[in-house]
Amino acid sequence: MLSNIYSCSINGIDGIIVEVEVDISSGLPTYALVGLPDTAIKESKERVFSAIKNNGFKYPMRKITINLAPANIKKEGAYYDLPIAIGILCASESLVPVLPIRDCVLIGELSLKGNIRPVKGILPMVLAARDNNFKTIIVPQENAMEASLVGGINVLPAKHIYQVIEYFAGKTDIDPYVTDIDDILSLVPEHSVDFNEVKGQESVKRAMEIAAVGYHNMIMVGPPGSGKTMLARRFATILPKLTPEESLEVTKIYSISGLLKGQPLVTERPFRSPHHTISTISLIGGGTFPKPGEVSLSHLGVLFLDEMPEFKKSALEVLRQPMEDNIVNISRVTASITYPASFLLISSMNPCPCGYYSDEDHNCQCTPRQIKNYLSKISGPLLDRIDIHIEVKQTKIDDLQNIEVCESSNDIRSRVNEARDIQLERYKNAGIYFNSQLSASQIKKYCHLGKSEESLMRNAFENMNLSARAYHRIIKLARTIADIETVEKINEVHIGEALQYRNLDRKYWEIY
Amino acid sequence: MKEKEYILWINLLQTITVKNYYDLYDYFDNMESLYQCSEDQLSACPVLDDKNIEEIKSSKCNLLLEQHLDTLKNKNIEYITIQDEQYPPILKNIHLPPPIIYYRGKISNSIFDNCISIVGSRNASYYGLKSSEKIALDLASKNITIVSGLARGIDSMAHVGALKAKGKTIAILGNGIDIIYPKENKYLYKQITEIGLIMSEFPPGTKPINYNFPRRNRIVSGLSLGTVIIEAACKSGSLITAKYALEQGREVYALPGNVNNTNSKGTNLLIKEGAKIITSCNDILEDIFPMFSASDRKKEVTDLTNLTNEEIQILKLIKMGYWDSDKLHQKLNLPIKSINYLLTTLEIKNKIVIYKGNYFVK
Repeated sequence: MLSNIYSCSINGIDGIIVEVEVDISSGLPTYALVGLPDTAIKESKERVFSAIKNNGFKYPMRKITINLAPANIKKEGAYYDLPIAIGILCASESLVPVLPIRDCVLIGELSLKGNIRPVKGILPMVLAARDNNFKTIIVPQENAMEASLVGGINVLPAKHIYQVIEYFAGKTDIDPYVTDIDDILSLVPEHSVDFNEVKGQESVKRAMEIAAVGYHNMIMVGPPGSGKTMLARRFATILPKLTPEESLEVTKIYSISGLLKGQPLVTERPFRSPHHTISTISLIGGGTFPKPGEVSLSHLGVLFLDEMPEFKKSALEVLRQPMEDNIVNISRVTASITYPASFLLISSMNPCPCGYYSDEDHNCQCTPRQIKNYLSKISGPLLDRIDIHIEVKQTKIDDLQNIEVCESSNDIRSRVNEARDIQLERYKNAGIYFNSQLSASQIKKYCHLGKSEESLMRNAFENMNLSARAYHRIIKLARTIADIETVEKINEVHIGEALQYRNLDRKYWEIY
Repeated sequence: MKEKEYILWINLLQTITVKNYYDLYDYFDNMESLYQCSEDQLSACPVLDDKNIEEIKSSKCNLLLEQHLDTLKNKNIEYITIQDEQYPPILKNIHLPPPIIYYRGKISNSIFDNCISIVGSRNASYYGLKSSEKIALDLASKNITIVSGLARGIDSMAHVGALKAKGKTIAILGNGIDIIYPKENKYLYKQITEIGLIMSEFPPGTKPINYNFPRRNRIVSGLSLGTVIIEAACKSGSLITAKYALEQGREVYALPGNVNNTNSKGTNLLIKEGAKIITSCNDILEDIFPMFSASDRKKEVTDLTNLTNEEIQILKLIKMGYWDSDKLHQKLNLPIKSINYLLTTLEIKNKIVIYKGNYFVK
């Protein structure tokens, strides 16, 4: 007899439907599993055998052939234990389903006793099932909440294979698991840090607000102990809220990486700060069986590179392509995969190896050659993709005591959300979300400069030692600044402020 | 061949020091006779030891002088000897003046007449750099020649100041004149050859080696009536220059600085030991060139026309040391966005400049 059960696999961050075909025919007892399975799937034979036997069913001692279609895609993971077991039972007619089994997708790993164990990557698989018009999906109990975030499909949680068998035999019912995604999203997460703890540094806070609104990449330059890392850690607290669609997209990535850690949904923009010893592969993604790297894990969030020149130069250079295209293409022998990687880069660095080049209270011990070598680790093309360059100064103890009230993250965040809405509205037909994504032609369309603004730009380029490549960056920044003030037309003040965020373009380390 | 070329030849020899040269000169009276004399005569000379004689012999065999003259011609380098009329008279008064000076540029009539040297640290603060440029500019516009060493920092700014005033400037190198060190001064080097003079006592091809630099410093101070030390650490080449200046009986001026700044410790030390304090070029003018100083002693004022009230306020605060947007923000209570805008307009109006992340009034 032949049986067909549907299950799911993962390719990149998307699920694909896999058909599990089981054929039992007379002959010597054998077990053949085909369709490019990995070791975990091949070993399912033993788990399935025990699970069936231990639940009072008879394992057919005949020739069993199992095919995972489409046969040309490599499959990995233990998702197929449950569908294979049910398929064998159907094919051997131990189970005669009264419910339409072909409208249902089954996912789950089996224990020898028949318990259903959780698997990773549930969310993209449920999305795939829904998009392929399946009505029901049976998932491990522990994954039910994550699975139920996808509306439009019945999510049936199962703890034990016996429950599933009874369900298809029409003897018992399983209650669908329902959650409301908006409920989860509306729980505003409490941050352990807040911007009102940072005294002074108003100019950096302002720059961070601009970065958060327009999603501009940012680099902070300053001596050690000036508070660069402290400020960056608080950056996540002012980022605009995730929309439900964005949230699902981020959760998909975390789901296949097995990083959800009990929570059903990523409700906050991710903030990733890899250590500077990170390898190129773990930054960008890859491996024999490709996994998303840090750039994808910070998708729609922030990638914070502390002490940027300490990173391997090769690791920094690979950031260029995702920063431009917002995706990462990874090609390996086993697969060629595209991961999303639309992240905001925040980086920090010292102005020189000893760190005190610009500090008025310390004397820098570095030779010009040392400084040059240090700075050359950050290449021009990479710096080109960073819109905001900001100087972080050491705050004096007197200043700390003088300042009483500082703005809290929530206040800043509400302004950020407002300015973000303006952009979403403006670019709803343009295929972009943020000012930083504007292309040269879109700048012409959305960032009109008047005569006085044009002349300000021209004067600035003549007098301020700016490189020509800064031109578009400045206009984009000015656009964001205007959006924060909810002004449609960019004026001189906006451009004047934006011009102050291009320090590294301005031969920072030279005077004549 | 001319006597000039014989002097060039003897100074090319590695084993002959400047002191040896003057001893030989006393003994032989001219270098041609040294070149022509026999081996016996050479060994009879008490100045020369075996090594010297060996080198003299070999240099004649392998046509050292001829090759050298070719190199000079190809590289467009000229030279003067101590016996030439063009040789700066003031330099002859120092102990062991360089017998040969290679140069690029043009020796005009009056370039050596009124020289002041400005030297200082390579790793300088904005205060030092700006003072260097300003004093050089003011002096050069009074037709005083600015002498310095084309090093990074203070030296370069002194040349820049003189060039800005379209005045005369001389750079004395511690390496061969065909080598530009530091490399980033390539453009400055070119400008100086067009307007002023680049000089070196070292034969072309000599690499920048640290022990050559103090030797060069004696020429810097020796050419000048006075030496201005802008910024110097306690143990530095600039203090060596000051020492030479004192030995040569020239004036030493020092720019006072912050007592906590290592770059000013050397200059403050000089002042303690009796160097003259300089706060503007007038201190030098009154001291050495009274004929220049009498006329205009107007106070330095920043031109405030075309500025808004807010801009003037910010300009004043920057002068008082509120030199970044955070400090201005705290003082003025204006939002950062307005301060950044005002800083931009002030920069565009050329009133302030950013250096090492801080703003300074120009």
